[in-house]
Amino acid sequence: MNSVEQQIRCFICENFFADDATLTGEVSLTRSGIIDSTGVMEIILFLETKFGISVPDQDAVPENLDSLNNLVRYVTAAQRKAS
Amino acid sequence: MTTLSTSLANEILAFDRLEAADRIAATLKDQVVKTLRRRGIVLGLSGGIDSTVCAALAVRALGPQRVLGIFMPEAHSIDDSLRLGQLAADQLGIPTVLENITPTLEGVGCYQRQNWAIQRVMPQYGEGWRSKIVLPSVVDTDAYRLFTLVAQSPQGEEFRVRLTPTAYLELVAATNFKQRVRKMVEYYHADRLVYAVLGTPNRQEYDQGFFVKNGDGAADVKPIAHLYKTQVYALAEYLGLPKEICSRPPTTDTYSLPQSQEEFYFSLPYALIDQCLWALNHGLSPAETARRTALAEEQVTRVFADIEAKRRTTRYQHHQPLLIDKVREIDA
Repeated sequence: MNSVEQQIRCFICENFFADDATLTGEVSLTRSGIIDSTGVMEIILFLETKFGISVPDQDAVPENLDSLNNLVRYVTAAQRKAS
Repeated sequence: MTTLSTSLANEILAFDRLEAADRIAATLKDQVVKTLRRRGIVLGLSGGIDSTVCAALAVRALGPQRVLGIFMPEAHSIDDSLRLGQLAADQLGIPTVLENITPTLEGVGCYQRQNWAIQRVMPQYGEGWRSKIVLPSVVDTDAYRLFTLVAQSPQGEEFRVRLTPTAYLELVAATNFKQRVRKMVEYYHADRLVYAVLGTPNRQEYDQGFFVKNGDGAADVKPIAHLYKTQVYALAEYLGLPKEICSRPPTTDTYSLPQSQEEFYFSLPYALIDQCLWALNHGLSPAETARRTALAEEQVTRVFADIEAKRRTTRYQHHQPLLIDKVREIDA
């Protein structure tokens, strides 16, 4: 079983042609041009279907979704809350 | 306080209307006749401020008999669009053609594909329903603005649901048939008359990529793409265009429910977008901009970021087809 980080990284690299070698945990996905507004929607859908969590509108903020680290932190917290 | 809060608005409006109108008309005539070697101008008339001002400038450039206005209503158009378009054409004295594009849109499956896309997130959507896409405001929060579908049942009941990426992209792609079919019709008339096609984007739309590639984004000349939206309204008044058009708020007139440009794309009233765009283009800081608009500094910061993001993500819209090697004989 891949870690949350690996699964998200894999999705971002495959879906948005991000460079795996340079995609650090802190890189801003929007400011670096990896994703746009449609990309945000795709990431939310990925999180909801892959990890079985719900991402309400108020959670769709950069602090939760704009970097690999933020995504991992958000998913982990949401899973902990659900269990 | 009033002076401060409106000072940027005043600065945008501090331009010589006569000089602007004459310069655009002279340049437009030169471009159409000398550069493009066309004999007149074709443009779609929507009854909105941009197409009406463009028509007036085209008349100023070439005279009314060298300008053809085309009305292209479809099943979802507001009745006002045709009426106001006719009002403008009558005042300008230009010949017009009415082309109902509904059968063409039905033929390519525009409406059916729209319904299929919507049914992905709202299975009950169907005959007699109406809908639009809306975005929340850009100034109040740092949250990503997610597209919401607003639908109204035949009984008038309203439903809202967040769009999935697939539903959103399919809905927009199907809807883009409207702009592309209109452009096809404009080029039909341009070809038969040896006219140029005029595109009507103002600066906000051009800068922020608010157009459909090879749809309303396609044109031979775009005479008001350098003008802020508030300047277009000011020019409309100066040119004496119908008051009803001059006071009409910008609408997309694209979805079956009435939808403003603000709720679909810009997320802010056009006057404030103009002020922020002007400030960003002139190197003003968010703090300075806030002092001279009705926005707080953190709100300006968000708007600046949104403008930059839209520029980044819509760059594709402006690209010409890319070649592997330059063809020097043609592209020099």
